[in-house]
This record gives sequence, structure tokens and C-alpha cells, in this order.
Amino acid sequence: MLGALGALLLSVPPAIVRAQDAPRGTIVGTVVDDSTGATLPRVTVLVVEPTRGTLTDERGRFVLADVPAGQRLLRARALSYRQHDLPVVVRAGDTVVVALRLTSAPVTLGAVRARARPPERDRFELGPNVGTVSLTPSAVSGVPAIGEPDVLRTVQLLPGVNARNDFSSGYNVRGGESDQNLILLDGYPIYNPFHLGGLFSTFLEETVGEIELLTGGFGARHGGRLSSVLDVRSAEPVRPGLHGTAGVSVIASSLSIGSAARNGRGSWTLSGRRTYADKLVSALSDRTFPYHFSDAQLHAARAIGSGNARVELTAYAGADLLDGDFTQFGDSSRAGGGTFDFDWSNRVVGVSLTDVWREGARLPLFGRADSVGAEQRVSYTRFATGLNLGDGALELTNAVDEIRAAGSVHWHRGSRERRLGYELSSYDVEYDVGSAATGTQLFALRQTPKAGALYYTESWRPAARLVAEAGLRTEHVSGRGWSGLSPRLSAKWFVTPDLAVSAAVGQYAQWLHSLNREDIPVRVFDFWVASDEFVEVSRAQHLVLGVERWLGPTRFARVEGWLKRYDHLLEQNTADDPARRGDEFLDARGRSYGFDVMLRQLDVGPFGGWLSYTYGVSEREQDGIGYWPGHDRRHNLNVVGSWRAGRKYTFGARLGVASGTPFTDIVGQVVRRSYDPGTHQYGTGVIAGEREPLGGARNAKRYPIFQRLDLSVSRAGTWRGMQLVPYFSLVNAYNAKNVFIYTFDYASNPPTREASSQFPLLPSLGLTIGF
Amino acid sequence: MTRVALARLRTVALLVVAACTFDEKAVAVQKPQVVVHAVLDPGTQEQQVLVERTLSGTVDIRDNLRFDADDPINTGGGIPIAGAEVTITGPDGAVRAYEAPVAGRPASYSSGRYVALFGATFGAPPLRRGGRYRLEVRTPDGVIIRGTTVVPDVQPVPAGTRLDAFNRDRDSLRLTWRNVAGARSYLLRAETPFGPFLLFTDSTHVTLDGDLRNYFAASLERVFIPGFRQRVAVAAVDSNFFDYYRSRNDPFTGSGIINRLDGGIGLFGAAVNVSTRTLDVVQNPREPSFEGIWDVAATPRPVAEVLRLYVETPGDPAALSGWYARTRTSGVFEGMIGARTKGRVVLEFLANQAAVDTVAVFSGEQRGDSLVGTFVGVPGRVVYLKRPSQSS
Repeated sequence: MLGALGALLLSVPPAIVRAQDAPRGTIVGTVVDDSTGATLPRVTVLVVEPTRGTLTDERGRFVLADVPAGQRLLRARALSYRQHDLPVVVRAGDTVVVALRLTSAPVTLGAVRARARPPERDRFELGPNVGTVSLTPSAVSGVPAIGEPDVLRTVQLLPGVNARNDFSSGYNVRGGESDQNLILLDGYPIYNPFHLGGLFSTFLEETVGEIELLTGGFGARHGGRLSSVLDVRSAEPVRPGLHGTAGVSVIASSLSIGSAARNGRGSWTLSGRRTYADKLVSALSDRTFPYHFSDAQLHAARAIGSGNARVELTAYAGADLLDGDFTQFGDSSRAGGGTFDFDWSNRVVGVSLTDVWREGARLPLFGRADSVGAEQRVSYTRFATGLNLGDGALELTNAVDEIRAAGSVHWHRGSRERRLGYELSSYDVEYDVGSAATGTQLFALRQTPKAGALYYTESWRPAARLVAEAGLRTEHVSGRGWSGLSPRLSAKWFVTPDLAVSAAVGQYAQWLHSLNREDIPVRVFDFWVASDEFVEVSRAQHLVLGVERWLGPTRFARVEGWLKRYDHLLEQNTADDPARRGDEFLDARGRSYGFDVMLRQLDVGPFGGWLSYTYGVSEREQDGIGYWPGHDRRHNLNVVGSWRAGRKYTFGARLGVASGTPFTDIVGQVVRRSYDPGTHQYGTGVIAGEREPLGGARNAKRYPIFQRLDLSVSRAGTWRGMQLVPYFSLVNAYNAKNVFIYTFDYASNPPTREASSQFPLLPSLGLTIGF
Repeated sequence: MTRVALARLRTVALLVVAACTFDEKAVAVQKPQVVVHAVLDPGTQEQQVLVERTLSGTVDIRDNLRFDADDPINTGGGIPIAGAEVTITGPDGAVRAYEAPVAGRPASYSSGRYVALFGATFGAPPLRRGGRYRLEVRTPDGVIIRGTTVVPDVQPVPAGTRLDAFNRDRDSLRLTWRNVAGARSYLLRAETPFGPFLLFTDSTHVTLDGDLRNYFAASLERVFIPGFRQRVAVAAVDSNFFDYYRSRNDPFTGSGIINRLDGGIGLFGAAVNVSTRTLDVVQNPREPSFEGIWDVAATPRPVAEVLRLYVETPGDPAALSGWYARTRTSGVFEGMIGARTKGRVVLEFLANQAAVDTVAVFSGEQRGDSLVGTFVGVPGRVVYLKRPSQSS
């Protein structure tokens, strides 16, 4: 059935009927700053007579359809820029591509009234947008960070999102486990987008165009995860000629270059980043530093044909390499030491083909439309990790390969939108533990499930004050032999034009699971296993109720309450038998509930930022025993802001205050006695008795309150035609002592407890060069 | 072993962050639990049951005691429980275990090591292969710990005295054994100076490369070290033994040990030796000018009269290993490890073939065919002369 569906979708474009007789055309283009080449979002672009207008999107792009053929005057207006007029000739049935370059101009406030609508306002007016938060690159760059701005560290500050601690790579959304977040790069899944145990994400700031986070109640387009969707979109340059950005920080150096075609019909960006502590240590001493990470990313887009067809390519490769040789550490006691290789890497490559038909377009079954679009995507994603201790004495590998084909057609008419889509994924999961040096296979797992999904969504406006979106997603997982229906429904009622209440309900399924345990605060990355005959498909239901109030053209407040129920939450069984399949996971169920608040000032003026507060409760139950999961943080407040003081200086600040997460108190220590059947003795003196901690009631205690203030400042300037932006940041500016974990010593009287801290005061500086 | 790898990762992560510690403070003393270690082993008539308490902050534990296998709890950082009633009941009836005295200690001294004697020699039934046994421990506080095990059905293989030459550059060690009824797994244990190399396998054979690394050792040192006499043994073990020793409590939640005892923590399992080899480990020459036998030339009371040195890992620093004999005629060889850094030679003379049990340290340098230096803490210069290579 799914194959037939795919064939149907692929055959849709030829079935679309295009009317060629209407004397109308389309203008598409981009708007950029004339001096910097930066794309300008939210610029008003209009045809003067007869008037038709629109706003540029986050990438500075716009489309004006249904423009009467003939000589037209195109006008672009934006606050702080001179109005720009451009005559264009629109031919019937054709598309004109233009590039508009705006020059900055001083603006006297009060004399000009800016009415540009930001995308957030569009989302507010046009759809239920429950649990949706979008970020721009400038919002990310305004957040103080270690070394360089980081997408995922910024996402962790949004409402409903909880970072377990400063070191954790994962994040928890509205009480969900950290493997329940679908992370997409240009719509393609990426499994473990983290470096250095989570201190950095794999997303290069220079390559990011837009970030959208769906924290719950999301529509039927997305599946495969229970809690959230994070979609990171690549930026597209609009300036012809080779240009780019170089960055140097205390952690890494990066370079991003790109260009746009002069006719505006194509662009490309190539970026790379590498840490250099290993090189520095080697160059400056006879020691070695055995770790580095690197990223490389390519994004290219090109219009094809004379219509709106477009092909895009995204490729990403990143790796962390922790490879060392004890004999190279310069310590004579390790002269006979061996090597260790611990690597993990991500690979993503995806191609998409999109097209939009407007003039008299129609779809079979759906009928005539204002526009019809089609999209086909093919991608390959791989996450792999390998650990090799002592040249094959112990080897561990885990790899997840996913080949995915996905596509959709979407139909628009008036305020109604219909979308029919599919996803087909083929997974290859390998998990091996062995010892080549002893010829021993300790554990081996190979899974090759297929998953298919078919979804349909319909958005419409049943009444003037009501917008709704209904969707149905049907999914099948071959390894488990599981099929399920996941209905989704969301709606928004406008009490006033600036105040709306919304609601969303939905059912969600997940068939890829992490072997990591939520109770363990250290999470370098996830080990993935798929649902199969032994491993259940996890399910969740969301209920979200919200109210959103716009307090001005660029400021809004949103409160959303949520309730989530989970079935078949899987947790690693630490007592599983390696010789037996099916006992790798323990089955739990649970629920989460709470509310989050967001007060946001969009970053279109000198000040941008947000205040987010989340109150959440998470409960889990396993074998009749209830407990708080390790990420159950009750209160979480983040205040984030950036302020552009004049044309040169930008100040950023983040204040985080949160209640503590649960932990299991250690109530003693046990000395393990090793029995040697060769000598019939316990212990031989070779190994001293090992003390292992004994846990009390699971997660019955909580760490103290967390607090952190981060500050940053940057200064923009030019030198020989290049833009130089040095920056300085202070993470944990007043050196708050936040507890990461406690360690206990019960071998003394009285027994003692010592805290290990999260980030101390961390100053860092760097330089960004634009050319 | 997956857990070993993951535990190593977590430990590394923990060490990274543990550098920033603060707020050390006293916490409440906790209620102790009873810990029992008991492994039935048909290879011996003395079945030991170790009974102790968890560390709960009631006493200061002494970590500086030299380990004594006859007093493993007190010298291994534990708190023994005296006066426990320990009974092992099998198909032929019950055998009571009694707390073993420790030589040189007063009668009131408690070791927590209880010994049950099996076999006709002691007027008791033998330990039966394939037999199901129950353990019951009653502490003076009234805590009762119970466990059950089944002894693998196989005749134990004695340790033997045979010494097999093993050139780690050329040889690999292949061990095979018969499938044993009642065995959940097989534990391979190779003794090394840096701690034992352990491997559970469900197979009935295993091959160890000569340059195998020990992933339990702190710096992943090799398993086979030239100059050492290393025992490699395989034991058939029951599921309790397998589960207990393959699991561990993680440092964050204090959970993970697979504990099959009722009323306490620990193990009541069974293990039977099914294969044992003792290897005399050598390697091909790396540096003939340095490697070989060295005889003491002049010293008032030498720690060792004869040394056999190998360059275990070339480089600078180079890892050294070998054996030493206290006298030329003793015929007793102990292990030795060391390093050579920029010509400076440091040798650690070990007891029990264990790197953590150093009895003397020599520091010196090679001058032609002489090794000249001193023993740390021992006055007087020591000179060793290299024996001509044909006689080494």
C-alpha cells in the first residue's frame, strides 16, 4: 500500500493542470542589506499598482503571485532603510526573479510607523501554532555561550525545555525523555547532534537560517518521536560572489563560504569547523591532547526550469575523536600502556525537489486551488560510535543507518490547506560488543526494520474567529509488526485580534529507543535500538491548552498547559542477560503535566529576548513502583536578552534559575570481594576491595536550586572591507556553585558528602570575520 | 563487558568534572546492611563464607593494611560481622560454618570469614557436583540472609605445577574445555601484575593473543608481561556468580548489582576450575645490550642477586619488566616492572607478582655492561653486571 502511495505522490505533479491563459505572472526574489549583503527578513515588498504586497521570510525571500502582466513598479520598505523602487516587466505565466538591495537610512521614530508583521505574528493569525517557537540566527548569537553561539544550548532556554545540567547533551521537552526529540537538519533526521559530551551542538551557527521548535501537540506531518520536533534550516546566501564568515574562538575555528547566483536562482554554502586544542598541545609541548571534533556542512539550492521548481542538497559530516595512546602521555608509569579509540560521528545527506504551481492549479480529488505544491525528499542518515580499548581487547560499536524517502503534496485555497504525505524509512541498527583479541563475541544485535507512514492534514477556518488543523497519521513498523493510527487535532479561537486561546490533542509513537538511562546525569550520546519482536513501540498522548496575547507588533505572551501520558516507555535493563534477546528494556508508563510561560520581545529592534518559565511534573511507574524520573524539574526560569547599543556594541545576558532535579541518595558503600577459583581465595592482594555505592530510594532526593548568569558583549567594526566582530562572554558570571552530582564517603566516621560543580566561571573570547 | 566499557566512559566523565568539588560536609550515619560473599568450589574442601556490613559511616576504615587472604575483610577495607550462624544445606544435609581464627590475632579478633568443611576427612558430606545448596546466615542482630546455588557438574581441574613457555611475540594461548552441565558461563581469569584479566564467555574455547591488552588495567597494559609467571584459568560458574560479577553499581544511582540473595547483598554462587595453565612469559629480544640476566657485583645485602630484564615496550620512556631472584640459588622468581626514562632506570621489585605490592625500588642507570644505582631507602651503591648473552 505504501509503495502505491509513493507512486501516487510522485505522479502528482504531472497531474496538476496549469492554466496558461491568465495574463498574470509571478515575482520572486530576495532582499539584502546593500552594505553587508545580509538577508533582510520582514521587509515589506509590494507591487505599487495594482497593490499586492508581502513580507520577506527569515531568509529575505518573497513571492508575489498573481501579478498582472506588464510593466510594474516593485517597492521594498523597511525600518531603518531607504525605500527602494525597481521597475520590472511581468510576463504572463512567467516568473521574474529579482534581487533588491536596501541602503540603510536614519529613521526618526514617530514620523514613521512600521507595520511589518513578523513570522511569529503570521503563525499566530494563520494557524493554531500550539507549542511552536522559532528562533533566528541573531537570537542565537545574542545568547552568551562558551566559545561560540550554539543552537541547542539556546533551545535549552525555551519554555517547556529542560536541560538536565551543564554537561548533558540531551534536553527534555515537557517532561519527556531526551531520546523523544526529533531533530532535523533541513528536514532530515540527525540522531546525536552533539559534540564534547553535549557542550556543543553539531549545528554551525553560520549555516543556520531558521530554527523551529515544536514542544507538543504537533501535527501529523511529524512522527517517530514522542515529545518534540526541532527543525534547523540552513541559511542561503543571497549575495553573488564568494563571501563568507570566519570564526575563531577559544574552542574552535570555523569557516563558512558561500555565494548566490547573480540571477538569484541558486546559492551554495560550505562550512567547516574544527577544535584545535590537540594541535596546540602538540605544537607547544611534548604532550598530547587526544580529543578533537570537526564538522563539515554543505547546502546548495538551485531553481530548475522556468517555474518554481527547486532542488536543494544538504550534506553534513561531523565526528568526535577521542583517540589516545597511554605511552604518549609522557608518564613513565604508563610506558607499557595501550591505545584507546573512542569515536562517534554523524552523517546526513539529503536531496529535496519542490515545486509550486499557482495559476489555476488543481489536484485530483481536491479540486481547484490558489496554489499547489509538491515535495519529494530522499535522505541518508548515519550515526555511528565505536570504542576500541587496547587494540581489540574490547570493542563496542553501535550504528544506526536510516534511508528515508518522504514526500507530500499540499493544496491551498483561501484559508484552507490540505496536505497528503508519506514517509518510508529503512533502518539498519547494529550493536556489537566483542573482543577480537580473544575471538569472543559478547553481544551482537542487528535490526533492519522498515517504517512507513502516511499522513493527511487539513487546515481551515471554520469561522471568522476559529482556525483549526486536523490530521491523521497511520504508521507501520515492520520489525515489531506494529501498526497504529495517530490522530492529531488543534484549534485556535480568537477572542480578539490579539488574543487567542488554543488547544491541541494528539497521539504519538516512537520505535527507535535509546539504551541510555535517564537517571544517569552524564550522557555523551545515545545508543540506539529499534523496536522489534521483543521491544515495544512507545506511545504518548498530548493535550495542550494555551492562550496567546500580542502586546504589540513585536511582543507577545503565551501560556500553555499540557498533559502527556506515556505507555511502553523503555528504560535500559541493567540486569539484562547478554545471551538473551528481549530483556534489554524495562517497560514503564507515566505522565507529565505542567505549564509554561513565554514573554517574548522579537529581535527586530535594539532589544530582543524572552522570559520563559516552566512548571512541570513528571511521574513514572515501573512494576507498580512510582518514581520521579531524573529530569523531573519542577521550576525552570530563563531570562534571555540582547541589546544593540548603537551600531557597534551588542550586549547579551542570560539568567537561569531552576529547582533541582531528583537524584538517588547514596546510603552506604559495599566492598565487592572477588573470588578466584584458581586459588580458592577472595581477593589476591592484586585488586584492593572495590567500594561501590549503594543507592537508596530511587530519585527520592533533589539537588539544590540551580542559578547561572551569563553575560556577553560584542563590537562590530570594519577593517579593510571586512567586518570584524570580536566578542567576549562570561558563563556563570558570578561563579554560582551549582551541584552536578554528589559523591559520598562512608568509609570514614562521620561519613561525608562532596559536591561536584557544574560550569564554574568560564570566560571566553573570539572573533568573527565577515568578508 | 559492555558495562565495563560504559562504566569506563562514565568514570572518565566523572573524573573530568570531579576536579571542581566543593561543599564537603558530614552526612548522617546510615543503617548498615549485611553483605555475604560465598562461592562453593569443589576444588577445595574449605568453603568460605564472608560476612560483613556495608560501610555506613560508623567507623573509620583503614586502607593501609597489607592484604591477607586469611583475613580478607579486615585487610580489604571491610567491617566483619562476628558471631553469625552460617549453614550450608545440600542434598546430603547441613554443614555449619565457623568463623576462622587469624594467625597472630587474639581469639576475640573477628575476621568475618566463616569456613565450612566438606568431605569425609572432616566427617562431613562431600560437596556434590550438580548439587543444589542453600545458604543461611543469621547475624547476631537477627538478620537472616538466604541464597541458593547449584554447583556445576564437573570434576575440578587441579592447579598443577607445569610451567609452559610462552613467547608473547610468537604464541597465542588457546584453551578448550568441555561443556559443563549447570554452568551458566565460563570465567577466564589471567593473572597479571596490573590486576587480573577477566572474561566471561559462553563458548568452550578461547584464544588469547600474545599481545592482548588488559582492559581492566588502568593504562591498558598487556596481559602477558615477559619475566612473569602467569596463571590462566577457566572456571565453570553458575548464574549467581555470573550475574554478580558481570554487574556493578554505577556511581550515580548506586544500583546495578544483580543480587540474588534474600535479606542482604552479595553472592551465593558456585565455581569449578575446568582448565588451568601457568605460563613462563618471554618475548623476542628488543635491545640485546640491555635485555638479559644481570648479576649483582657488589653490595652488602642485596634485595636481589639476579635480575632478568626485558624491554617490555620500547621508547622513551620505555616500559621494563622481568623477574628477580633474591639469591642465585633460591630458584624462586618474583616479578619486576619498571621504566627507563632518558637513560634513568627505575625498577619495582614486586611481591605476589602484583604491581600494587612493591617491596623495593631500584633507581640507577646503565653504564656499559653495568647497571649502577641504589635501592630507595637502602644506603649504599648497587652494581649489577650483565651476564654474557649466550648464557642468558
